[in-house]
Amino acid sequence: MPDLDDRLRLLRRHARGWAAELRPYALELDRDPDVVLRLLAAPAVTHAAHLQIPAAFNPAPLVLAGERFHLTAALERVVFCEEIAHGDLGMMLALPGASMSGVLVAAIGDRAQQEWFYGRLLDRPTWTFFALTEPGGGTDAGGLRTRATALPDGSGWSLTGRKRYISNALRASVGVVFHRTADGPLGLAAALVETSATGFAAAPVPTLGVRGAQLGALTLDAVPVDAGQILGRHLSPVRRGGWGWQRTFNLLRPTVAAMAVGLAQAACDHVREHRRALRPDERDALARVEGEIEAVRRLTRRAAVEVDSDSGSGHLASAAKLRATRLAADVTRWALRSFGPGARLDQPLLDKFARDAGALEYMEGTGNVQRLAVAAALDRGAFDGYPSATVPPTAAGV
Amino acid sequence: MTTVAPTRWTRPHDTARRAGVEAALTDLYDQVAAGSLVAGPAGHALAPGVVGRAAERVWPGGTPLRGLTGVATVPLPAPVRDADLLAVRGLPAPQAAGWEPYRTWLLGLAWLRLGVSAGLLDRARAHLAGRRAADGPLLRQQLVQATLAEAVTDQLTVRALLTDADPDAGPDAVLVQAHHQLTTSDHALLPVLGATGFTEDGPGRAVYLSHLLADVYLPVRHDVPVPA
Ligand SMILES: Cc1cc2nc3c(=O)[nH]c(=O)nc-3n(C[C@H](O)[C@H](O)[C@H](O)COP(=O)(O)OP(=O)(O)OC[C@H]3O[C@@H](n4cnc5c(N)ncnc54)[C@H](O)[C@@H]3O)c2cc1C
Repeated sequence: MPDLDDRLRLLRRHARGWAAELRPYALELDRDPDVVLRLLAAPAVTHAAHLQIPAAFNPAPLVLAGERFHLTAALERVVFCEEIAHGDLGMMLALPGASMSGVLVAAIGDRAQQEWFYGRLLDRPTWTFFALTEPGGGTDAGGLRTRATALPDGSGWSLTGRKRYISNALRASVGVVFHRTADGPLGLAAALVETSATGFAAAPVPTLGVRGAQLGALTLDAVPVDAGQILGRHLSPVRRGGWGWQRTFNLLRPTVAAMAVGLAQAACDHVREHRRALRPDERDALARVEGEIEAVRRLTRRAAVEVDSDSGSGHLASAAKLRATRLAADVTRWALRSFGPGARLDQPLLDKFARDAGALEYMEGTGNVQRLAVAAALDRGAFDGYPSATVPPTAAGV
Repeated sequence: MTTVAPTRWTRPHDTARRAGVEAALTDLYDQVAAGSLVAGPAGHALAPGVVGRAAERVWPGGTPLRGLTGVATVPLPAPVRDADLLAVRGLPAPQAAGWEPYRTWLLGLAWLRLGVSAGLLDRARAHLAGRRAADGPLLRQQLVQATLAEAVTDQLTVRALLTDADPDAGPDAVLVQAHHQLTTSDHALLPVLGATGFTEDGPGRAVYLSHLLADVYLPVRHDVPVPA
């Protein structure tokens, strides 16, 4: 299925146009993350702000040539995100809208929470944050320390802890804070929190790449939270915790892979456009790079189709994210090299692309997390055509 | 830490490993170019701010800066815009004046960059020692250990090569290769730091500056031409 149907091609064509309008601001955003605030009328920004909202809550989806798009399916998002990242990955990550929190709210929020959250987004361009990572570690979500303590009068909880590397933390007005209510895996929870709440503070954490995403460190000092803010309170502790989160990450992972593909394609196109006279060996390298990008693009689309049919099935998405991350890193560095000495100074956009590529390693699970997930999936026979491993019993094991 | 670099390159290496790239570059400039701007193969320079602002000549060759047309300063990339460095383009490239001395520069720069890579490994190990995965310290995870093992092996390889290259700088291809190996090795190592390695003021900053120096100063091809 990796070839897109007419409907998705239509989306891709439009998204490409919207992305091209953002490109001229890419380097400006790199220097000043507030540049995105001046671009609220740009179509990519408007659409990101008002889409990725489930059909039941969005009366005004995107309509192109009579086709309706909600950008809630992974495949639609993959197409959209690849193109916007082709315009600029920093801008892609700086966009307002439902983003990661929106997927979690769709997965485990109750009806009232969904109405409230999506309603806020439709009201006006709103940035959201998704606060999982803590200063002590991002990979080991089970080791979360941010804690909700029940108030003595039973009126709710008080949320205390620290978060770090949170995208859009400074411009967001609402988001999700992952925390625990008790020790152990069943004590994990996520709450909708407004950044105007008492006890909530955000400070910038400037980065080497994707500086538009304006990462932040959050301090939560006894932020009041009531029962209505706890996502999935109507679900079992397992479903609103690890299970629900896993599904959310599975749905998001192909989008990160797609962003990597878009970035790689952008670097490749930059070489084609700005290096007119290529030597035969360089033409050959360019063709090889194009081939590599196309292969990962197809893997990414397959991964999206797979999570769209079963949100519990994220192993192909892990493979796609793993490969796409390396692709973006390799292609952006190759692009720099193809301009010879001083390329980082003479081609600042390519220098930025190479710095931006570095971010992908950490988003939606690091490279090692994906490697371990792919190895586990191979082991249990999850990949089509690869039966599960049979390990002969060892002498010690019998 | 006892130094591993030959005496001549001890300071740039050790300073890069412990303190930072700007200070190490100042040491290297002092050693090699004595107050001039060092031009790379395409006429760019990256110099410590104090040297850059006071320089009157281009190294190698000694061309006076005054009178050169087309020389311009270049804005530093956003995450290092506050670094005390001066970036310049439009200088006469070394081929006119001397690939011989330029080899010495490439050798010293390789020691400096090896210092940056070693410093990255130092920081990664210290960082990982204090962090945990679900089932124990991050430093003891086998995938993490594999990455550290590859990094130290790369660094030992480059060190062996540079040590033997001194004092009569070995073949150029080998030297350029050493630089490339450092770059590749840093890219593979940096992720073990997690997002800490991706912040503007974290351990990734020195690595980025090291790569910026390589970008400016490495010849395109492995064989640095020797003047006839
Ligand atoms: C641009 C960007 C945007 C981000 N946005 C957000 C956001 O919006 N919200 C949010 O919550 N977080 C965000 N993050 C943080 C990101 O999710 C974390 O950086 C990531 O989860 C890794 O966590 P860490 O940095 O603490 O690294 P650590 O978890 O400390 O990991 C360090 C290293 O150890 C490896 N490792 C960890 N565990 C194991 C293991 N068991 N076996 C082998 N190796 C292991 C990792 O792969 C990594 O290489 C963002 C990061 C970046 C760079």
